[in-house]
Amino acid sequence: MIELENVIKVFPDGTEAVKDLSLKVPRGEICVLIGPSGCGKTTSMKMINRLIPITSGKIYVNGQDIQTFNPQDLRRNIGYAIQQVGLFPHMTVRENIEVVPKLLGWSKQERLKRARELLDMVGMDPDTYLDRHPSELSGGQQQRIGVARCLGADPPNLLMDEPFGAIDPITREKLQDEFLRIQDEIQKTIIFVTHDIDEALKMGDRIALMSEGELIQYSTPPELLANPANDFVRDFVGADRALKELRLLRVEEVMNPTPPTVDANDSFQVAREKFEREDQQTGRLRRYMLVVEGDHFRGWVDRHDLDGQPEDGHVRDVIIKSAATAGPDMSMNQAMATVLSNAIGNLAITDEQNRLLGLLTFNSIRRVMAQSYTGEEAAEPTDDDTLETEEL
Amino acid sequence: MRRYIAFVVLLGLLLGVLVWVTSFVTEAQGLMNPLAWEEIYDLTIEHIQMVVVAEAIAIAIGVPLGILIALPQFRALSPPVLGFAGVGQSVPSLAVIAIMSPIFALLSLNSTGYWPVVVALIIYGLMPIIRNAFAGMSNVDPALIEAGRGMGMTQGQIIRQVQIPIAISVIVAGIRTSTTLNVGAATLGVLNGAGGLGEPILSGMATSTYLVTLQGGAAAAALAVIVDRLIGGVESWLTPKGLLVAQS
Amino acid sequence: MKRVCVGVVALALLFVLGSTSLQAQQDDVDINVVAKNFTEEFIMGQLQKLALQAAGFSNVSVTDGLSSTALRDAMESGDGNLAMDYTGTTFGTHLGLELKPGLSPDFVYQKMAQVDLANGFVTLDRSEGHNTFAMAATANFAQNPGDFDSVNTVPDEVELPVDTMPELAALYNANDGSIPAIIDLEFAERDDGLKLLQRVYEFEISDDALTKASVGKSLQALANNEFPVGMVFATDPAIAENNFTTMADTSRAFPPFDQYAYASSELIAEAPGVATAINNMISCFPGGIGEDWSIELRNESQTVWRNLNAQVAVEDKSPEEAARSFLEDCDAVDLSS
Repeated sequence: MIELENVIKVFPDGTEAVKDLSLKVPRGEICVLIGPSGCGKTTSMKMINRLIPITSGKIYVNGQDIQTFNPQDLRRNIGYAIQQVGLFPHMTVRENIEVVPKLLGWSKQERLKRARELLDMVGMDPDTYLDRHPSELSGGQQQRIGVARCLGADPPNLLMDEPFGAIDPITREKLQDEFLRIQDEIQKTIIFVTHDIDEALKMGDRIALMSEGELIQYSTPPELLANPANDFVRDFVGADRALKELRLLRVEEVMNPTPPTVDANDSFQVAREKFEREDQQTGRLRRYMLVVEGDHFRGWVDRHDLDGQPEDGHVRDVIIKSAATAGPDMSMNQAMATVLSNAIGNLAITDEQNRLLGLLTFNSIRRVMAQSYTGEEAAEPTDDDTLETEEL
Repeated sequence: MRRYIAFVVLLGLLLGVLVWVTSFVTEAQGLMNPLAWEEIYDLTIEHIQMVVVAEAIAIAIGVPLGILIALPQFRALSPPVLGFAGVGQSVPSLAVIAIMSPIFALLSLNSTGYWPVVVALIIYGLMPIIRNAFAGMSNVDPALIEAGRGMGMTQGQIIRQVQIPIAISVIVAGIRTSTTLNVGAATLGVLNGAGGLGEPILSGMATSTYLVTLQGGAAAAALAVIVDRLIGGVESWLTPKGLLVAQS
Repeated sequence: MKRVCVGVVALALLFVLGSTSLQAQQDDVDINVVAKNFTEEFIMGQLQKLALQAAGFSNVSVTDGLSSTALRDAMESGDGNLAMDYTGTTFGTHLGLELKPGLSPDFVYQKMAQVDLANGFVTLDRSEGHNTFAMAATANFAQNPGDFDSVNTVPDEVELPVDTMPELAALYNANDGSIPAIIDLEFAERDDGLKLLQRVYEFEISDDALTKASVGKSLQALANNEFPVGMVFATDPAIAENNFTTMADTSRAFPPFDQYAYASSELIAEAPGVATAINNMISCFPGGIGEDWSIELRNESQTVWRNLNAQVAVEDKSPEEAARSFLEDCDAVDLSS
């Protein structure tokens, strides 16, 4: 847990970098400090491990006033990852990861064990990489080692200053995903500085938006998007905040978990009856329906294909196979992209064994976006929002 | 590989000249008699002693001083220190040696021979050492120092474990320049009675026995080439592997 | 043989002195004095000029700063027609005659004058100033050599003060050659330098006791009493200034290097007054043609030269001022005319 209480920083030249900042980061959460450059976010972070001395106020780490520690002891117990990765070029990967454990006096065996563990954790093979030098690694690999290094001594609290900066967007996304997965396991309390709002929304349990040394809004990402405190926040978050909000939602939260289906082994007659029953219930003409076999997803059926077929045929004879499916964990913005590129306009949600879990329609996406602008509570998802419907 | 070829060729050439000239030594006593091997050996030892003692002291002073003035809390000292060292370097070595002797006399010290020359060589050799130590330490990426601090290293640990290993090749390069310069400058030590390889060079010139001058010159040049290569070897040996990879 | 030489020169002089009919043209004759590149030669250039001007010659120019070889070349090519040099230099270096220990100053002078006459030069008078290497000791050492750590024994034949080479050699021999000495590199290296002295006086300075340095450094170290023994140039004013005692070269190991003048035969033929004027000037220095050598005479002449050099080196006068004040005190030259 990290807590800042009325923290003020005035630099010797008179610049008020941080004005009366109070902030509480609960154990196990990621708090993202964000704001335009010069807003005081980096200064605030560096005051926590006393890289920059505070002018007044109190900072507590795990309930203890940081001023009661010797700065070196304090820093050795707070993981620190910096902007340009800052790996020591003259040290091997292993030596880099072992820096803090060594400072803390761990034995050689303990250090090696930890280094291997961390390399595994960040997805790099210890046998291959332990003895490499940073210059032999790609940018993404270096950033991974940077993360591993700040976790070296398994500190409960981490400070991360744009740890995924200066890297291509694809690798960046990947590292962010991996880090979130790691954080699920390790549950650190993290102060994470970034200037990228997308990264903030993705990584933060809470976001502290700062401007000119002041904390403007401190809230969860959805709240920040839905209820910007003022115009500054609205501008900073951007006009596309509805799209951004989609990132924060997972398919699971939006999909209809009980969509109507036909079985591949149903006869045409049975299938036609299912279409008609649906039409009556919703008052609209449904064109496509999911085809399952048992509880496995098999494809789609177009009701027009049922017309004029011999009575002894089955749904599987006219099935439209579709490769486009999504998992329940997919973020909504990705799901939307998939929906838009799919001719059917709907997306079957399946698990890894291809069992059908639900249905995502374009209309349900549109509804979610509309809510984020109006601030309405999302209605229970329904399945009546098929892309192609025809009035009765 | 190429630099080794150049080194071997150059050294071979110089030693070849030395062997060739020295082979003229005859029993007859005459003006044109070159030095015998034992004499060259003695003079070379004298020469090495002067340079080694001067460099050892110059390193002991220059490296810590260069490191010190690169530290944030002493950075203000860097212009005067570098300026002072620069003066020592830009005054011709002959003048530094010439000035040392009356200064020693003024201090009622023995103004003749070894020590005034050694002190002059120290002053003359300090500049590249201080300058390179300062530059090497200052040029370490501030992000690395920040990373070290942020991980809980003390300033001493940052200097020893981060800055010096990264700066070491630049520091040694300064020592290399300084030593090579001083192998040359030490030939002037003989003017103050310090002996060394300057003795055949200058006495050969004074008596128009140019073979003797050639012997001294070839021996001093060979010494400089060897010293340069030797310290070059130390330089690559001390450079951390990670930095070698980065350079290539 | 010696007499013959003297005769030859005297005849030559008589010949030129006899051509008095040419005296009237003194104003028209161009005299170009050439001189070398050190204090004593700078002064000698001015001495010649002043002496000539006093005798009524007005077209006198002085070109100094030449190396020893350049001076001789200038005389041979006719660019210079009057110069002062050292007898041993002309004898050994320019004429290639063999210089060996024991040669008397007058023999060297006479022989050289005879040979040079054939080269188209008339050799004028000489002094006894003998400017060459000399061993010297600090005053302390010369008076009390026994006070020095390196001296365990002062042999009986040494009569204090130590002021002759045999005495110095005896001291070295009695003390394993370990009395510290500082000498110039050239003196150390030349076969006719220290090596010659050691051969003639049969002593040896041990390698450990011998320090080689520049001329300036040797003098300075001696002046600072860092070394008891060292090398000096015999007419260097620093000797008087620092109260050094020079070691008399009693066996004449070094050939004579006496200051003398010579002119091109054409000049003397055209203006015999030149010879008179220069000879008068040289007579201001002790020693001269036909005089027998003695340590006392040599010391006396060297002292005169040393004092003259000191006016420039110590008193910071210009060579011309030094030459003028010297000649003012000498009756043989009348500057007032």
